[in-house]
Amino acid sequence: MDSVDGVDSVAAARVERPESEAGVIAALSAGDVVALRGGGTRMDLGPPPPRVDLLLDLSRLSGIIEHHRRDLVVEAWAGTTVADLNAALAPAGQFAPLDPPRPDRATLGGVIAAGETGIRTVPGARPRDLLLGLTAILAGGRRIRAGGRVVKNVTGYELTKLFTGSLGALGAITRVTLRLRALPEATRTILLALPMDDDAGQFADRALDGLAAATAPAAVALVPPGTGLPGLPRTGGFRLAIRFEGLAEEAAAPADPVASAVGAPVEELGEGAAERLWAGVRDAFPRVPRARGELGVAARGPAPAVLRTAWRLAALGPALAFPDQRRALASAPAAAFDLVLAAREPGVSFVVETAPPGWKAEHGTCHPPLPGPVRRLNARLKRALDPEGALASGAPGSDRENAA
Amino acid sequence: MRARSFTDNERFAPSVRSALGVNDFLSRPEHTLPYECDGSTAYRSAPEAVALPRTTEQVAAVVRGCREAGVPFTARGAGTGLSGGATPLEGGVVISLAAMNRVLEVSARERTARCQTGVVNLEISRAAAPFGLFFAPDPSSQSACTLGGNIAENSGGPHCFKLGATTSHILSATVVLEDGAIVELSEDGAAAGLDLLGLFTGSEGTLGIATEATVRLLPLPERVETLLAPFSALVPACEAVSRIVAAGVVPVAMEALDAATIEVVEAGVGAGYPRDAGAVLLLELDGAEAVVAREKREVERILRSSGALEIRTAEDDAERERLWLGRKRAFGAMGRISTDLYVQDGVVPRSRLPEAIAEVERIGRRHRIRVANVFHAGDGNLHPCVAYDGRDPDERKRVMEASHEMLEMCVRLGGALSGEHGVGIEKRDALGMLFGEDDLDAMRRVREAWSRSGLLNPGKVLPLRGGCSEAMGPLPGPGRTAAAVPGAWI
Repeated sequence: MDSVDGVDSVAAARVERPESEAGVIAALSAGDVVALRGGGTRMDLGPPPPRVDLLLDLSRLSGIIEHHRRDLVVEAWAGTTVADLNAALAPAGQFAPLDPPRPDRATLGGVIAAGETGIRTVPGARPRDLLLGLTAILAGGRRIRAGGRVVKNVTGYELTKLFTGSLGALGAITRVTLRLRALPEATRTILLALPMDDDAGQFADRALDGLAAATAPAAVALVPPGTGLPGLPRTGGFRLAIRFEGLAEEAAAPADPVASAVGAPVEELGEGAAERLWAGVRDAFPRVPRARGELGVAARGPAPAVLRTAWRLAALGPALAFPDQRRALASAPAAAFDLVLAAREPGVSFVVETAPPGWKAEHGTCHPPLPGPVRRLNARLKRALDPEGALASGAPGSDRENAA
Repeated sequence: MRARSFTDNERFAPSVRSALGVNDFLSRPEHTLPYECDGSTAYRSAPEAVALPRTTEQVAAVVRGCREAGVPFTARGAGTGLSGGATPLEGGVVISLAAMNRVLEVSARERTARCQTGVVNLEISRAAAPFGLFFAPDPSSQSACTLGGNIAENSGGPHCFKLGATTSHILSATVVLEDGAIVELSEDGAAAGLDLLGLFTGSEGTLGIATEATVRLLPLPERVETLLAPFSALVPACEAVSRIVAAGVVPVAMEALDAATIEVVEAGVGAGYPRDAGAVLLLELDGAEAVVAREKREVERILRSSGALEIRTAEDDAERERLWLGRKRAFGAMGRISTDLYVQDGVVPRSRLPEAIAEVERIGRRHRIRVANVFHAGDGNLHPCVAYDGRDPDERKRVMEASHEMLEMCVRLGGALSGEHGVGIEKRDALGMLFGEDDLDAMRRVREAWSRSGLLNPGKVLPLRGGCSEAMGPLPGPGRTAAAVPGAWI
């Protein structure tokens, strides 16, 4: 993220850093066009707003409100960083399995607003799986609560889901309630080098067979050689990295079935090397150098199609794929966007997360654009909760109507 | 409530009927009567017609026909719901997905299945089993309830303790919106639009009608251990559950049954629960061999130190099935002891289970009603089950008062009004116990953003404007036992 105080490349006229919910309510009642910021690590997601009067920085709203230790549930202020939360929970042997890029800066509210799926396997570790409840201040200053603090709850509409990935378009998240897990007793990472002479289809099948052969993996990533993560050689083919965690018996899951499914020998990574690798995987993609004309692209869809797409995108620049999440990330020169689009398999959708200034306004963020009825639903939901358009961010995914 | 008349029927029937095959449109009262309610028989309202579409396009055509005629419409799966979600409260057309009941494709490599939403829940796991996979959500009604109903209610089940409720297992859904538009909602992550699929799942048929869905399948576990632990009473059993949760051990299911339930289960099903126990816990562990062995040792240690009288492990699949049969048939078996039954669905934080159960018992005694408990202890999801005589107005009044107090207790302890049965009609007017006016107003706006005409499953989920809050719907009158409805298990 650039150092500018604003959203994407749109600078804010001024910045406020309220220290209480009352301060947030006051700021959202004043009639300004307001953009929201947590740790500021993903301000480049989504369509850039036309204008920002006030940037409301929520990072001072931090700390644990209540740790329901015996329930493995925590309520915290949304400005708490993921790293601070987990440091505070560690003595109790618990943690929130969120792993956004730069957890030392990323805040709980920001991770939820960005819908930031981390590196862990799903279901179970996405913000939408972990978020039990939240408090938000709507434009105009009304405070609402959604969800609750119990792990099973179907009382009313799931507004928690609506706020997850809302990119600050619907309201300012001030408190969040998350379910927690016991800290793993042990972790272990294995690495397999995939054969270099595979084509896209063989590559995808091999990777998915490897994943299927792994017993309850905690994280799975495919790293192309050009991506240059700590501890990985820049030569050879794709590497399949698999992490196991939990009880010692879970971490000791057998690697032989994975090796025979993939057709490659297994390399065991040491603890330090594994930690560096996963931190590299976690942090790789917000660092897209858009000032140099690079795009950051997220691909989603059926796993085989996403993997075949990632295999082709890897020829254009750094890339990563998370097969169990049906997701891949890649960066490529904006000038090569035609090639990016040509890499897309049927059934896969692209979201351009980061782009050089002005690029999104011209090309839009969703490729293909969302269908009209879905775009209209997004826009109507935005208007339902922010009728005056007082929050700067538009409805995610609804921007294409203004584009070519 | 809207007045219904033959004229209405005449007005919409041609446009709706023309979209369907000749036998797929029912309008004679003797044919539509079975659709007047779901498993919660307290609320009855017969539809004017029932449409049985076979394709998504037919569903859309029926929806458009209803829209044009200004007639309400309500989707229905198997009708096993327990909060009135599929009851056509204002008449109109019931759109039954019963004829759209196929698993279209299982992809072993992707670990997904594409299904029509009228498919019975258990059929998905049956279709996946040859590939070593299964569909995780397992409501007790899974041999009858449908995927579409599961999506509408965000259904749980014993195994959602570890694996999550339905919302965690739906990757995309084809949805017919109120205006007849057909959209594909999927979990595509940030910046690809709002999480419409997440909001839709659990919206009780008020935002649209899902006709197909791609669901996530999970690998069948290498090892499954099923344990039965009798206790002298329910409170120490709940203490054991709270301690297992606090220790961070995650069995795949933790179910509790009290003495009253054990008695009816043993008389009805013969699951092999000890008849002299005050309560039993039914626990299941699954995963890799070594992991399950370790977790079993840990769970057994906690159970023993919490006062388990013995710990029995199912020796084979037949015994495992028998132990589960007792749990899954418990509500049906209660028909033996009473003509009428009222089942609740409140939730409390897991650490508060012992006091919640003690309070449920106190409330029951104070109001002189018979309460049996059989519930998803691991999730803190209570199912106090009140047996009563619907012919006795005084007893019905006492049951209502007690039920209201139990819900108040759930809220006071930090819980919620419904864990898996949904709000529907039953808890619609009680929502104010948990949410403030601004919270409800936000929900109302969200609903109106999807459904402007108010024709889509009207009268559900949200309190009616100007309606009384802090009240629950009516209690079934004589002979209207929820559990007596085929397929209505909890």
